[in-house]
Amino acid sequence: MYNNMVIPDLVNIHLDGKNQKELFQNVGEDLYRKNYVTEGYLEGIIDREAKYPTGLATQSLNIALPHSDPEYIKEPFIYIARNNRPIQMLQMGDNTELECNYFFFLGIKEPNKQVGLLSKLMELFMNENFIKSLKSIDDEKDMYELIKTNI
Amino acid sequence: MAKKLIVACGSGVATSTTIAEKIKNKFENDNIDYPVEAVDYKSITNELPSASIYVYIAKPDQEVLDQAEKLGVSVFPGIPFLTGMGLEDTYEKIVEVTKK
Repeated sequence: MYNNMVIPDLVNIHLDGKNQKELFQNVGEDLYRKNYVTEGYLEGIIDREAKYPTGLATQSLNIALPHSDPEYIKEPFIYIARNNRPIQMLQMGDNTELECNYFFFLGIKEPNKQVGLLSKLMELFMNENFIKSLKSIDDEKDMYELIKTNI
Repeated sequence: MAKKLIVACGSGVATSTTIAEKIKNKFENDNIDYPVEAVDYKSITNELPSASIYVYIAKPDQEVLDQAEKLGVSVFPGIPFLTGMGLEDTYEKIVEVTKK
């Protein structure tokens, strides 16, 4: 149902951002270049992350789900990013610090239609086998296939 | 006092609706008849007076927590419903409040 939001071109698992800003810049510019977002998107995710952090400590993996308001999204997407080094993020809900390597940038254009996406994603992160595969993958095509077939 | 559970997140893009649905489903499974609604955090101060349980996703400001306490609204974290960490514990506490 959401697997059309997973796009081969929007998987980047060898990012090397030094911090959150650099990582967001890399991804934001990539999305803009590929015409998935409008110009204000980068600022949109930075602002939103500052106000409402999206880091989440799941059972065996810390993740973050940066997203902007729908106005900046041209085409819905999930941008799958893994950074080589852990990035300091804040946890949703209590703003405690946590370190993340895995980022799923959610391009939500129609919140009503994409409401199930988050539950689906979270279900995956409760699945140990999925996490094992996710961690062991080192090829972007494999990563694309893994997410595409599971979501 | 009003009987309603509200879930509030940043802009209502995804999280509050997701968690509201989760809680609704759990209530249904447990035959708990209790209204659940996703609201925007920006309007939380208007929503609190008509609520009995407030499940937060965005970290609430101190003044919001103060207002909740004054109104006798019970406050719970919503993140366990996303990550599954501490879910049963939080849910049981919420269920206890619904029985009041």
